[in-house]
Amino acid sequence: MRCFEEIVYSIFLDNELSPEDRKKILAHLKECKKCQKIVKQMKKENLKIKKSFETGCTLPNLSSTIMDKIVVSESKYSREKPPWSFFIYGIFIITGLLAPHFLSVYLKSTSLFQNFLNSIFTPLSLISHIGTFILRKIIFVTPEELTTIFGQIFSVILLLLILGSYLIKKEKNIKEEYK
Amino acid sequence: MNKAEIVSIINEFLNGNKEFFSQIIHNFQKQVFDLCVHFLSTPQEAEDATTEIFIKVYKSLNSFNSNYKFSSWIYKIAINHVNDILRKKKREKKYLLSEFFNTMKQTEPKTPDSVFLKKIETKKLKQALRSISINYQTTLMLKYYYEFSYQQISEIMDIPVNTIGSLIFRGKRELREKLKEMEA
Repeated sequence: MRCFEEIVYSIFLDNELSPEDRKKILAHLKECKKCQKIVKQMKKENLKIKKSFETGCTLPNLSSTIMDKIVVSESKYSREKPPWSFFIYGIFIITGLLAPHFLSVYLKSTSLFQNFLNSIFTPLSLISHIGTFILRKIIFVTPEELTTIFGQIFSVILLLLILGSYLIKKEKNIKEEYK
Repeated sequence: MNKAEIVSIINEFLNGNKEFFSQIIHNFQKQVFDLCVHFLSTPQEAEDATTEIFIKVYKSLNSFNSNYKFSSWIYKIAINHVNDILRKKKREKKYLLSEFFNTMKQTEPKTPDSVFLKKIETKKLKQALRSISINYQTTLMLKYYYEFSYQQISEIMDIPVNTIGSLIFRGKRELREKLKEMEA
């Protein structure tokens, strides 16, 4: 019988051949001294490889250390996305949309400044006008009423914004610390 | 730890009894640590990596697919993590250098000659192993150190099962070549 390729012996020693192929190899090995030698050498090599992966390092029990770290990372992780973050981002967006409009209303007395603002904010105020228009459609008020209502709300929103940006900054710090 | 035990631990964990996770750590920490020690340069680094790997396991345990073998799944996470570290730091070269200097530093042996020679031989083999490609190292480690089947290795490494045999064979051939180079 013809000798097999070396790779076949390698797979044979890894116990990954089908029973029929295994039988063929075993039959051949009984007769062929040369292949017996190859297989013996390979067996030795495999054992050496196994041994060279042994680290000899003693490992302290990591269970408690890891569990502690998990607890810490979980508490940080849960703070990563607080439930009110959507609220704050919402306020950011709404205020951003309406801010140019309210600015121009509040500074109506100084027409020079308003012209200046209009020249800067024309594209932006278009967006805010659309925002105002949508709000009017929703709550049915005149533009004047809307200005007064939102004038009052605006100052509250501003306060919330300051608080919100402070909280977001703090949240980012926590995230970075966690990383 | 048999399959039924692992399944019951995972179920307990998924039911909210997070403390059961410590049993998983207890069972797999040595294997994961050994893998990290082989690929990273210091035991301290390996310990840190082991910790990070278990945190990853903890966080993704919810998505564990029970069709998988649990140990294969853990090794997969571990190997990916170690590969990330290696890629990040390109530690391979640095490690080889530090190993080289360690061998140089080794002066008069206190152990008998034969034992010392064997140690040198193992050390050389270790060095050669670390200089072959990561893929070869991983397959050889999974097969001969952890004694996984080709099927499991293919699951862990995400490669077709019919390529494992040749991967292992080529790995061993490259290892022999490296050893020859080192001797020359």
